[in-house]
Amino acid sequence: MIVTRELILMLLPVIVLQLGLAVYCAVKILTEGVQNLNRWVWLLICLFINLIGPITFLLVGRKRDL
Amino acid sequence: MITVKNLTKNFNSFSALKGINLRVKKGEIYGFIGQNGAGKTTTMNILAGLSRPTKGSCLVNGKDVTKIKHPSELHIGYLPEAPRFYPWLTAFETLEYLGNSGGRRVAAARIKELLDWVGLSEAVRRRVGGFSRGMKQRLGIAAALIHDPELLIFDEPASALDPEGRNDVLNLIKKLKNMGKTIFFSSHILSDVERVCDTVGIIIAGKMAAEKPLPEMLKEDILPSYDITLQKPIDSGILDKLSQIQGVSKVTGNELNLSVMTDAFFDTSLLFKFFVDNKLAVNSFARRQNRLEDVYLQEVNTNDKQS
Amino acid sequence: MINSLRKEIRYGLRNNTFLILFAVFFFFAFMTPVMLKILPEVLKSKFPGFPLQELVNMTQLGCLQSYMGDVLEIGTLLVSLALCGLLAQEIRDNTLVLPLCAGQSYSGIIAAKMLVFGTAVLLIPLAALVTDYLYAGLLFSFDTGILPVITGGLLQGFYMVYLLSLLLLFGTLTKNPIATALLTLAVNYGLYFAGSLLDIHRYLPSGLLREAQQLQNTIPLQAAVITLAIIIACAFLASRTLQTLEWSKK
Repeated sequence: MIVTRELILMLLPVIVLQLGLAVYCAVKILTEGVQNLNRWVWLLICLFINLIGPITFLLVGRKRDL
Repeated sequence: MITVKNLTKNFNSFSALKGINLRVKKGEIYGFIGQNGAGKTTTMNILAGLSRPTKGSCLVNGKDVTKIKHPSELHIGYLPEAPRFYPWLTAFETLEYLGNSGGRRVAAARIKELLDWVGLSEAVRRRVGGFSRGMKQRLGIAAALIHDPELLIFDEPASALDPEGRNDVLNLIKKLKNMGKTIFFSSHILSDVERVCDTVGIIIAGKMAAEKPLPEMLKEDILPSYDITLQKPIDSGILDKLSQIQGVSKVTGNELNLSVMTDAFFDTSLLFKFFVDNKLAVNSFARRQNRLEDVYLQEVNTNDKQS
Repeated sequence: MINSLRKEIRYGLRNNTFLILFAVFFFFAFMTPVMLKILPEVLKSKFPGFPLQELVNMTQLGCLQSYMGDVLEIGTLLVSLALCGLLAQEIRDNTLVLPLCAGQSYSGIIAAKMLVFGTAVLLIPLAALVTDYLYAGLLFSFDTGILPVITGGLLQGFYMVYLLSLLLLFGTLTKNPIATALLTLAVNYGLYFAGSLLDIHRYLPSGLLREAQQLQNTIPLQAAVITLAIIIACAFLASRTLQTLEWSKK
């Protein structure tokens, strides 16, 4: 059985990628504002849904004013 | 600079333009007025080469708009009704991108100068996404001027702005005329047109109702009326007597301020004789200036009666 | 041209398009080796005696193939969604009116988008596959050469360029980002399904992905030529359609 420490070590690149995205999105949400959904909902989506969460936010949640 | 003959445009079964004729001369400001939906934007899109006419001929800067392959061949500066920019570019980058399009080069100094000229010097490095409506409109004017065209086509340049913003834009238009540009602009705000235009064209329901130099348009024979202010209040009996004078068609107003509408060839001395006879002291007496609005409403009314 | 390219690069950077593409491919590149590493442990503890070795190829090669499967299924979906607004959104928002009036040519607009985002979707999958190769090698062992991996990555990237050309064409036809994405995905999955059903992958763009997954360092010439032809045709049609559009809506 692989011990947890080893597992985390193996997952480190994925964790870094995921965390980096989440933080980047969180900063965007708090500084630039959002659209389509409430900002706290977006924050939860970005923090708790792997990969797809932040990407969904970046595609449809970012504030765009023409 | 613009000659339009019998211009027709149909969208499916709806006919937006039913044979428009107009002529814009070099160096003038031409005001194109009409209600929303009368066909102003449709006409301007065709003149800018962005939409093709169904029928009729359109010469812009000597080029036939039906024979061009690309809008830029017309060499005009076009400002759409609500100019859309890339919100993720700064004002400077926007003009840089537009200016260096189509194989042309525009120097950074020229871009700065233009932004300064339209009053955006504070926002050069700011992203357009955060701009107000008025700022975008001014950036749009700068964009239209980037290649220094002779002919400018502005679609409702001032209509969506607050009074201050409108004033700024109208002043820019006046300055452009002084620089020798020809400007064709549309508006549904008649006082704006009256302030700056040399020639006025009125479009009603896809047809040209009138096209005349502004002074002539204002001399249109609308029945004359006179505004009179008296020194002392009068009673309504005198008002009735006043309206019985030969040639007076209507009297309105209160006991101090009167408006007297008359026939076309009314002799005003009859009014003064009446005041003297009734011992009425007059503080002011003035013939009311025709407003473009009156002319326009008269045109709309005739049109309604015809159809 | 540099002017237009710079605008598209700014678009990609400031609207996070490059970031999304990077995140998608690298997420799978890092994830699949780990999944393959822990899967047997999990199964062993739950179902002792499970004949796992016969089902899953637990080597570096297995990781690469599993990663490529993910790219086909989910990667194409996310690429389509990330890039569907590239032209459709511009047409819908009327942001092309001023550039056109300023002299941007129809073909130039398409060419700039194809060049900038084509390069991105060609290089990012390639870099991700090499990363997957290295990470899988680290967790298992290096038992595959790097050359087939690079060939495979380029084939995959080339397939993404084909998707991009579809996105641009459908963008001009529908003027709607979501419809563009759906149509592109329908063609993407539809052709793959048809290829499997009729056994004609070698004549379809999907042949590129199939061949890439083999990691044999071979190039499916027929599929590559046909894909290139489709890309050029799509780009050409997109610029022709753009030319006939009316920019009259408010």
